[in-house]
Amino acid sequence: MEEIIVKQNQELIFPVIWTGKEKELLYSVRLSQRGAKITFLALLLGKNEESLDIKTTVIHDAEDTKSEVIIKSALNDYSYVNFEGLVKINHGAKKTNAWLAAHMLLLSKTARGRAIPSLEIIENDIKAGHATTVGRVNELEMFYLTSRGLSEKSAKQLLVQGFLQSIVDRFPKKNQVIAAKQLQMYGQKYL
Amino acid sequence: MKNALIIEDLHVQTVEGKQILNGVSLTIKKGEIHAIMGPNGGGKSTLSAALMGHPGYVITKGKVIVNGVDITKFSPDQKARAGLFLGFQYPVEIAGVNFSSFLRMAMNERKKEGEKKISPIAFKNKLVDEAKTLSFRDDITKRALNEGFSGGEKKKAEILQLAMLKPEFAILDEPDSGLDVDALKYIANKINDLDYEFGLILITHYQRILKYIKPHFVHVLVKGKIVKSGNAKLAQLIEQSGYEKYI
Amino acid sequence: MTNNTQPIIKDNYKFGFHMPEKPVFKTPKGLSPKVVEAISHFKNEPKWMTEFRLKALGFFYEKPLPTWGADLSGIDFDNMYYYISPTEKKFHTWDKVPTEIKTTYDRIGIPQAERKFLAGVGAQYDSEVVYHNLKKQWEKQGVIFVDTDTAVQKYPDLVRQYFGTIIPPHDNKFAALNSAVWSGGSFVYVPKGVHVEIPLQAYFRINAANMGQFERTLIIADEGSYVHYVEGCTAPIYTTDSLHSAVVEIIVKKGARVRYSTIQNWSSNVYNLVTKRMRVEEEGIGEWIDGNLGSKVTMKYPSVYLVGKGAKGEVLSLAFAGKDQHQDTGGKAIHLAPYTTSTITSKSVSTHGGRCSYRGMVRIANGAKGSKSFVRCDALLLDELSRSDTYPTNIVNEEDVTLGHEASVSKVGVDQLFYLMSRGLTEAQATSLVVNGFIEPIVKELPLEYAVELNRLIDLSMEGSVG
Repeated sequence: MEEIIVKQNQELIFPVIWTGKEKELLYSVRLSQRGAKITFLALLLGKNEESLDIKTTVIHDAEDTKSEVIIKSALNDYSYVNFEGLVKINHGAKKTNAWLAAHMLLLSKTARGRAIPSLEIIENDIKAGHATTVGRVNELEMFYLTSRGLSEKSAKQLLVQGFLQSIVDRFPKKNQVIAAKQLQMYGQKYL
Repeated sequence: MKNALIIEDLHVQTVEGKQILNGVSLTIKKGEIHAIMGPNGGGKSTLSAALMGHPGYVITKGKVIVNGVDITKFSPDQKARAGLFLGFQYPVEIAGVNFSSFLRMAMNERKKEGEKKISPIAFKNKLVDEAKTLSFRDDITKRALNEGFSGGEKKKAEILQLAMLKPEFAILDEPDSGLDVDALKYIANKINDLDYEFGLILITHYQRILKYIKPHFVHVLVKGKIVKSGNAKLAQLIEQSGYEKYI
Repeated sequence: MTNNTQPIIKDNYKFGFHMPEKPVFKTPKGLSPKVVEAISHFKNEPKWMTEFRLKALGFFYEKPLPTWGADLSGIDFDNMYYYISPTEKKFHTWDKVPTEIKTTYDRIGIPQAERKFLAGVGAQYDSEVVYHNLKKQWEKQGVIFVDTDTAVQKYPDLVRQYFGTIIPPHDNKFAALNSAVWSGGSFVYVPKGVHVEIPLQAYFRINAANMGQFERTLIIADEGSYVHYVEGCTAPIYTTDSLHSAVVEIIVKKGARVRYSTIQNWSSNVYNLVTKRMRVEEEGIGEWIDGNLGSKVTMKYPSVYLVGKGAKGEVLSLAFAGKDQHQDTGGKAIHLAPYTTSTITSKSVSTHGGRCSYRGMVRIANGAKGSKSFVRCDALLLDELSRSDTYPTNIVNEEDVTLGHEASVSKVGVDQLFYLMSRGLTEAQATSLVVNGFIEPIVKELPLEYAVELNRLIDLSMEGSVG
């Protein structure tokens, strides 16, 4: 379990890259000082028979705190990701802004995904939301790209890469190089 | 017939089964500009979507023929390679896909076997030059496809793609909706200045854009059928008296 | 009112306690195989049903109390009567009915005759006249609409074919309990191609038995048929029964459509734990409209099992939690066939420390290609004491699908309130307008009378919670 503490008025970007090694990743974030902000970004690339259990807990205990948890996952072959994310906003954590999103792209007939993004909110002067998508690439986006002449294969490749790239673009500069490399290696074989 | 886009008795339904087009027939020759007008719900957007193969629509009867080839059942990318281009009314935002890379890819995919692919640098230079004529806010080549673009920029981006891809037949779905006068002028000038011969279908509700791009033919689409065809004067008539007499 | 907890019957009988010769019957407190046998015997049920009940009792004993949902530790299983025959039901007097309930009846305009019935003061609501005429129409069409006890006697083959097949007794502890001691509820059969235009309302045939704790409803919509079944009412039901554990099983056959609407407003001492499930076959459509306003605790997740190609399921869930209430509700969509679609929309409002938890599950099985599911849950927290939770589970084992889920939680917008109040409305009026607007997408699917009553109820609640 990795505990992440964010200090008063601190803005922390916490990147995670999974390429199949770990079976379990647990994170706990506590925002108990005013103005603390966390952006938790996870890039999950699954292949072969790899599986991952990833759990995040974010607790808002102070006013004016912000959390953004974004999980983007591409799953190929027989891989599987189970994501359980909890965002808890305690009483008194006024003006909290919390957003939890899990997006999983299944790239093979045998890949599987499970997502349980949960919210527990005991304070009303807040804004919170979450979103999940699991499945294949967006139909309308595919139409747009193919209407420009790209083959279905190229269009899908572009969309998946774009999907994953958009989260890497938000990583802190120093982590972007490694992330780009991992993406490229994954892309070469699977996209 | 070579050098023509023929739409023959087209009947189109949504995938849920709602009938929208009830037999539309039209012939567009290269070098011609056809404007399609009509009240909301008449089927204008459906026509452009169905021509390009949008997954939400089904052609139940009729044909679409480009340069003598029946493309009715082609997939969208096959239709593009057959020479068709659709300028979307609401261009889709695609995060993480670089505008420049995507467009270069699209251009290269059209090239036949053995044909030389355009180099990234040559492409970028051409793109920047073309983009200048449309007056974008900043370097569009660095941005993700339509992401963060204002409404006007999205529309200009569609025309930029048109200018780069040089399709034989282009369908522009309400290219003028939501645009301010300046953006409208840039787009119209770009289309008028294109240096090759192509057929153009301009779908428009109001006829603002027709002040800047003179159509050879004007058609009125109501309840899924073309009820009146004429020349540019027809557009002026509609501007004065509306669509009532055609409903 | 007598406070008699002794068995009323005085004769000896083989079950070890007393059985009457007259048709009045009440089991002693608590649950046991003998109690279950006695219930079945009293109802004169065929052997298979008695065995079904006993087997279910076994499952009930085996299964532990679920701890993942609301707090159920307050249920005292030993201190309950599991069966009371309609004529034997004890009623309280009007003056014992809590004031809030009486006020609510006033405000939402419930007729006098209905009030006594709803408050458990009268024995039977006389809706016979209305019911009678509709009954003739249904009979002509071949529609069967009777209470489940009668169905077991009159249509044994039909019942036996489907009873307990959609929700088997071992499904969960409360389905097991219901399967053991069920009584009352509705049985509906709609023949092939028949469209029942006017909604069937449980209310028509309601009497004390049907408002019971352990109703069991079974609806069979044969191919190409359509029926809309409406259960419950917005007016608060006052009962001293503290556990309501119903089971609703629905089969939607090929090309058929069933809509099941519920508005539940049990009094605030009730644990309302219900299992509801529809099995939707090829090209069928199953719709749940579930409104939860009352009870101390509700745990209810109407489900659609999409087993045939092209089947569609929809769950519209509305939850309202006030002081000391916990609505743990939501829906389930299980996609087991290709080209199936599901939508779950949940709207909840929490006020005065109330708690609404959305609990949902979407599972798309391998092979269910081309399926689409979309879930939207929105929660309004009206004050800083209240609570909202969202626990959605999404499981996808098939690549060629689209699953999307969105949720939002917020309070009533300051801008919205300001705008309305600047037009002269009080804060309470403005708030109730916004709340009514928030729940409108679900309310508009309800029959009109319910919608009107619901809106008035919200207004009443808002007055209580603002200023």
